[in-house]
Amino acid sequence: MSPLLEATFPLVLSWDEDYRLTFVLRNGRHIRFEAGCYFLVGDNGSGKTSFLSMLSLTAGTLGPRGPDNPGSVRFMGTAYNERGFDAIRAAEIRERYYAIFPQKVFFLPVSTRDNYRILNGRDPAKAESFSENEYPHWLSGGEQQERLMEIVLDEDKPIWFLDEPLTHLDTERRLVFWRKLEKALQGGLRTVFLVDHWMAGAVRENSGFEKVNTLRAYAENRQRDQRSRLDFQTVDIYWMPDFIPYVRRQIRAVESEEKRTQEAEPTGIERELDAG
Amino acid sequence: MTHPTHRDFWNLLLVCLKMFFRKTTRKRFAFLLAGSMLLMGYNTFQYVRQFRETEQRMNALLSDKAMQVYFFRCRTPGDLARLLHEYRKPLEAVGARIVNEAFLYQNNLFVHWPDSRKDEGDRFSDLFLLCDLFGVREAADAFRSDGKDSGHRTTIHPNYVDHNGWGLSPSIRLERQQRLKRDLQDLSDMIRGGLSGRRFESFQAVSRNLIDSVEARKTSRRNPPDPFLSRVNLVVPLNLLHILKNVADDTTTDVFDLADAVRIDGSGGLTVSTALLRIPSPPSGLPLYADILAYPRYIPVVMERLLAPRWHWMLFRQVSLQQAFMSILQKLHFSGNFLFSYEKSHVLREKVRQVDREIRGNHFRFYWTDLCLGILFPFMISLFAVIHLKSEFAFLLMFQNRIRQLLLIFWLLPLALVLVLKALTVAVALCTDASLGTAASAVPILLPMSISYLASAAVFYPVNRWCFNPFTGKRLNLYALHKGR
Repeated sequence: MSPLLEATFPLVLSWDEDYRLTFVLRNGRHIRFEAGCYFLVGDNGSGKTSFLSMLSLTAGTLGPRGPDNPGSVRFMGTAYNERGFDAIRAAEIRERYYAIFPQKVFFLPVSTRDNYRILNGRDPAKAESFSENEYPHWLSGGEQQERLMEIVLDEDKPIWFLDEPLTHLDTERRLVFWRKLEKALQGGLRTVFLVDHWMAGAVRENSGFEKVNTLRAYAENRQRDQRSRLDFQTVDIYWMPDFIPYVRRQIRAVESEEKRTQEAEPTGIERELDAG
Repeated sequence: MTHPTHRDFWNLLLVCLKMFFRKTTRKRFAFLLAGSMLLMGYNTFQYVRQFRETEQRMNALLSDKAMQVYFFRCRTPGDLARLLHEYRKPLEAVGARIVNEAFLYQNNLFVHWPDSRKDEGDRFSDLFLLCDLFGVREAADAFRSDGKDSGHRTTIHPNYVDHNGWGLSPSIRLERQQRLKRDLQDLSDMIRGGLSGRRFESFQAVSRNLIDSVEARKTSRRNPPDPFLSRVNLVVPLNLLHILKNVADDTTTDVFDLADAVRIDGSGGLTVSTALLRIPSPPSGLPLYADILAYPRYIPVVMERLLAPRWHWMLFRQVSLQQAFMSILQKLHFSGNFLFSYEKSHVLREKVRQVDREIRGNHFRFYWTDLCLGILFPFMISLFAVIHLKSEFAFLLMFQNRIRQLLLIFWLLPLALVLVLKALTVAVALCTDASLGTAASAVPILLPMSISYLASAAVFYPVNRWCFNPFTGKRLNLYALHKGR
């Protein structure tokens, strides 16, 4: 099966010509993202989110290739910096093929039902499951994260970009996430991009992920009144072609963790409350 | 690909409005809306108010009949003949007409009082115009008594109208009447010509009966006449002279019958042979049936199309003054045929210039300010949206392709507000006009307002796109916006 997504390096992300982030591969100049899960491992500030944003067409420069725009990201044969590709075409691709879970949870300042209607709106019946009177900023961080998953993670979309989706979640909601992912993988989901700091150690050691390449992210800061600086950090790209067994293992692990939590002896305060 | 439906569009519009009126921005947005709409409403209201004023003044000027009639002085018969010979055709070429059966003599206007029941048609239109202008239509209608026409005899009331003497004492008014009678006697003598013998005596009897019966028509008018016509003292029916002329020219009636042709009626009127009331045929080229030596006299010229509304290329109406006629008028005045009221031509020019200047100024000011506000106000809303909802739009566009809808909403929404505001202002003006019975005058206002609105809508279109450039430009930065950078 041909890959949906491929990238040619160097990829350049620039802000106002003063700050520039350039991605290169340690091995080769081209990477094809096949079916399965790609896990990005790197320190904070190493450029994982920026790279995901470039892949998901939410950051980058459109237009023909040039010295400032040498690389490209190609989706189903269409490079996002080829002639005729504009912001509207990018938005069309995002709407139809990409499910993006951002690192920072954000909502429109309207009810969760309105958020679903506007950000997704594919299933009117599902929209009714959201409350008209529930406003996201009233919810806790974990609840917000859960609502956002329900709204934006569409099981029909072939590519998911998940930037730290588990950060604020308790076991119950992590279980919901993994089950949703399992269901999507059994459906139309082909490629998952995942960033998570808590899982990074396990991925590095031995969990079935194969390291396919390493990204070098060169940050170039040319802001006025500041010393020009050029440094780089690395992001390792791991790949697991068959991701479903891994997801199922995660489901079992979370289930047992939740079971342990439920079976754990109540604390002193809980005992007092029960007695009262 | 799933295309957004109408329902999606309205949902998005509703959510955009909800986001505008969220707690943190609702006051700012409400102040922006209120301030902008107040400013724009005031500007539109001022334009509409000024438009209505100038439109009413323009209509008043266009319908001012006093400006359509001019009297040229002719000192001698030769002078009159020269004027007719040289200027009749040029005057007709510009649409003006020399009025027959009317002239000013000794500041009294002698005009044939047409019978509105019988004398219809273009031939008498100028006379009707003069009668209306001098307010003698009622007197003209009452000249012939209703129901007393027995076929060959008609009862008439030989009354004149004291045009500008309504404020004079009775003794002075009586003196004016005596003077008129002396003038009529002179005119009668001139009409009589070379009659002699029994016909002379018959003519004198008729003349005496007529002149003795002439009286001022009782009127309850207490308003001053039109200032441009106020120099005219009396308005006298020329029909009296027609009777005399017909009697003088009659060679077929028996002299005894002729002396009896005009009888004093017991009710204060006169009964005359109906045949004597016809207008005697004038010789070709002359405005009157005979060249009575009543000189100097002023002959009237009517120019109905002197003023006309004219469309300016900036789509408003102005008053156009026919310069060709004004040139003739000027030329006649300075070649000896002085105008009875020369200052009227200058006042007219000044009035036209002033009304045109006000109309033009009002429209220029409106186009300029309305275009500026019409672009600035929507631009402020659009900018407000991008500044305050930048992250929200970025976040929305991460998931949905709603760029076109957003552009449409933020182009359409301010324009709809402007449209509602303008429509309300004009509706109020139209309703006010309708209640005053001048609705038609306010209708042309829709054209400049529509043009200005469409122009501002067209200019605002790229301005709005420019506002939303962070989402439509070459550099994708939804992620950066979302991160708050």
